[in-house]
Amino acid sequence: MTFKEIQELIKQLNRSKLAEFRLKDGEFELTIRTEHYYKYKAKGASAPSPMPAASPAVMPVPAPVVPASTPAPAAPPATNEDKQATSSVEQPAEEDSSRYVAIRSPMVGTFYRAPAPDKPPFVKVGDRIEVGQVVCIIEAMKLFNEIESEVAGTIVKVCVEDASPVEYDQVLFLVDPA
Amino acid sequence: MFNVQISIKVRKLTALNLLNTLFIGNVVSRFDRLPSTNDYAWHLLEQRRPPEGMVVVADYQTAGKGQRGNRWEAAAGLNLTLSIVLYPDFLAARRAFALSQAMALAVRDVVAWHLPGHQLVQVKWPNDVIVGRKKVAGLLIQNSLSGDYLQASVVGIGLNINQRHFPPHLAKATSLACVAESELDREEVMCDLFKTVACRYGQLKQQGTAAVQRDYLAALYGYQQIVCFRKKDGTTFTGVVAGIDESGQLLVDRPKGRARFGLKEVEWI
Repeated sequence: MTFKEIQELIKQLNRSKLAEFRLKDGEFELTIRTEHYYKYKAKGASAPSPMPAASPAVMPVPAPVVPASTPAPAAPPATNEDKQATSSVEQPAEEDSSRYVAIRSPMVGTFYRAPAPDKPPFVKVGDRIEVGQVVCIIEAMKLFNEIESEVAGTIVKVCVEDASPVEYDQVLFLVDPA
Repeated sequence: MFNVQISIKVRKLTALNLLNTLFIGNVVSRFDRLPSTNDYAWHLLEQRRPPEGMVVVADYQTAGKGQRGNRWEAAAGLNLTLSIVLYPDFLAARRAFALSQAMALAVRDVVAWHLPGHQLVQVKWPNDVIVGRKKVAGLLIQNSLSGDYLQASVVGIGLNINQRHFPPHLAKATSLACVAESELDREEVMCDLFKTVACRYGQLKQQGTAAVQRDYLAALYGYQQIVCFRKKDGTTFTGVVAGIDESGQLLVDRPKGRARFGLKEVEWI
């Protein structure tokens, strides 16, 4: 791996919500931890699992914490790596999701994460939200609906891509009420 | 067109209690110019709870809002651009389209009121008001929602009144004056609009969404007629407009059955 490739990798990781990235190829080993890693750690959350984004060369990464019901996906081909890293659906470290509270869509429409195309999103993974705080907009037939959260907690997952259609009652966000 | 944020000069901010309406427009904030009346009203909502029916009027909007990413363009001092604050907390979120229907009907009512009787004034799905086949008014509604019910709404209305000339890209626009062939009194139209909004809002509140839906269908352009549509992929098809579902999607009957379409899925041609 060249220095330039590593630089590019760091850039991509910074843009993503990954906490940790490990790559092992023969003797070569690389570990990159982003600010999200320390955010999770600071909160005393269970050890953040490295995302299963890796090159085919990655072999036994020190056991990621993955629930038994979801087997760790086979190492995807390297071409998927970028896609996963830049996907706008934010993935939290995988852990028990039963204690999370879902914020659901109250209507059929289009989901928007920001008040306008050139504005930052209302909330992102890791943000602390309060009751009554606006988390997204659902647009339906020229009606722009700002959705307020009914729970306080921390956003652990954004379940829908920006600007994509949502159904009534579809889960939009997972919130850790702790 | 306006890349520079123009500082807002508030010449008059008055509370008028003179308007003889039920409750819409009992409090009116007037501005010579504002970036957007909807944004201003929304900002007020975030700060405090203005009285229901409060209206924000601007003679000119420097950044009028249309659909997401689009702009509402209106010449200065000739038309009506205003926003009304409502608290429709009786309305379930999944039926929010009924508010849009009621408000479109209110605008339709006031336009019909000020035009000669033979002019057919209709609502074009979802909520434009048209005379002939030209658009005379548009709406943009912002709601805040908590749980399954609406909390607050800002109903933005742009109604063309005395503008006689439209730029080429607005070839499908018209105004009351264009159709009536005479100038109208903007204040009078505005006061009448407050009345029709109060009536339609009252209808929604007291008679429910079914009554509004009935009147909306009666006013709907193309209803129960054969209409030609273009899909996103460029293909065209014809079908009979059969109605509107609860979420505002258009129902179209075709030989192979009924289909429903969202706003950006089909275009009328």
